Amino acid sequence: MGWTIPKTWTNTGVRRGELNTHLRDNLLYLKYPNCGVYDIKETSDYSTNSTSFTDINATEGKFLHTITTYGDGNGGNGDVFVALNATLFSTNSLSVFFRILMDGVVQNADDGLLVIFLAANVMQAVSFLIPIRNVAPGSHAFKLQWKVSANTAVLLANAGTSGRDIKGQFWVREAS
Amino acid sequence: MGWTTPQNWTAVPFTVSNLNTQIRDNLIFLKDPTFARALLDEGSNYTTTSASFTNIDAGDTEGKFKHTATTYGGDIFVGFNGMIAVNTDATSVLFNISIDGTPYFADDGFIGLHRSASSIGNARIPLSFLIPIPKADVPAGSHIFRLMWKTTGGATGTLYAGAGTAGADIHPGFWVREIS
Repeated sequence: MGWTIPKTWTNTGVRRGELNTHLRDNLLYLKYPNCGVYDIKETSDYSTNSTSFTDINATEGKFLHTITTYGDGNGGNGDVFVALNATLFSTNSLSVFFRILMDGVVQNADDGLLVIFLAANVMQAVSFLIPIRNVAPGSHAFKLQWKVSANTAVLLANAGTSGRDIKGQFWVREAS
Repeated sequence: MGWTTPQNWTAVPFTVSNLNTQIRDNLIFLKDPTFARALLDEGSNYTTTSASFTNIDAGDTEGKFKHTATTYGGDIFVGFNGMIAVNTDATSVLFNISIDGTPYFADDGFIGLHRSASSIGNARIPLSFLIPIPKADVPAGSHIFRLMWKTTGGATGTLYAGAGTAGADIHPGFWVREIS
């Protein structure tokens, strides 16, 4: 169920259909806006040795979520939250960078949204929640990418790795 | 478009005015509450050596680490993401929020980073937080939210700000949103 721009009432003859569309359905959407959630559970952990930003996994429902948004509710642009909770590991010292793309457009220029410095053989958590603003009503694809400074980084994926069997989450939600 | 306290309906028929104010406008506000966000891309990084909480942006520019927002009596989210460094072992960088000029958290604030003698590498550390400010602390009206910081031991704290630093060309964000 989506959102309908609330009508401007010009008379007081309220019809049942109007109440259902403009009041009931919109209240329901406010209670449960569109979202996409990936519980990161795979048979093997993710890894990269790319020194330029690359997809972690561009499969829909993994590190790519496509959702329909309804803007500010009145025909204008709105807001979307994008969040990651995950744990990184490497056998080498290196930096791991993350950035977000919306509809293929980079939202965090240069070295991206954030960087995690990993010491060799140390796990490090990464967690963020950021708003993407001015998102036009419609269908939008949100994707997470990463790169490293050198060597290979691992993003743990609840894959049964001894001592590092940790499940993360990547999610996208229209803010309201 | 703001929020109007919903009336107690005591009679029908409705008026056109209250249908629009009470239903249309309030639905639209719930869909798009007050929101301010900065995504910074500066010519130089931010630094401080202050031993007491001070504004991150010494220029106190609206829309950077200062957001003035009209709220309507709801809880407020304050969020930040960025990368921090401190240049001396055994020192800390500590953060606070101020609302209308008053530090919100007492003592050393609400979050901080400590660099020990065994800190990893160059001690650049990502920091990301999202905190709720309860509505009891933010009555309806215009409010100014700022992000503040300080360091210990005379150390220099750095917030990377998309200024082209090699390997740390990271763009911080600071935002404030009425939850609903």
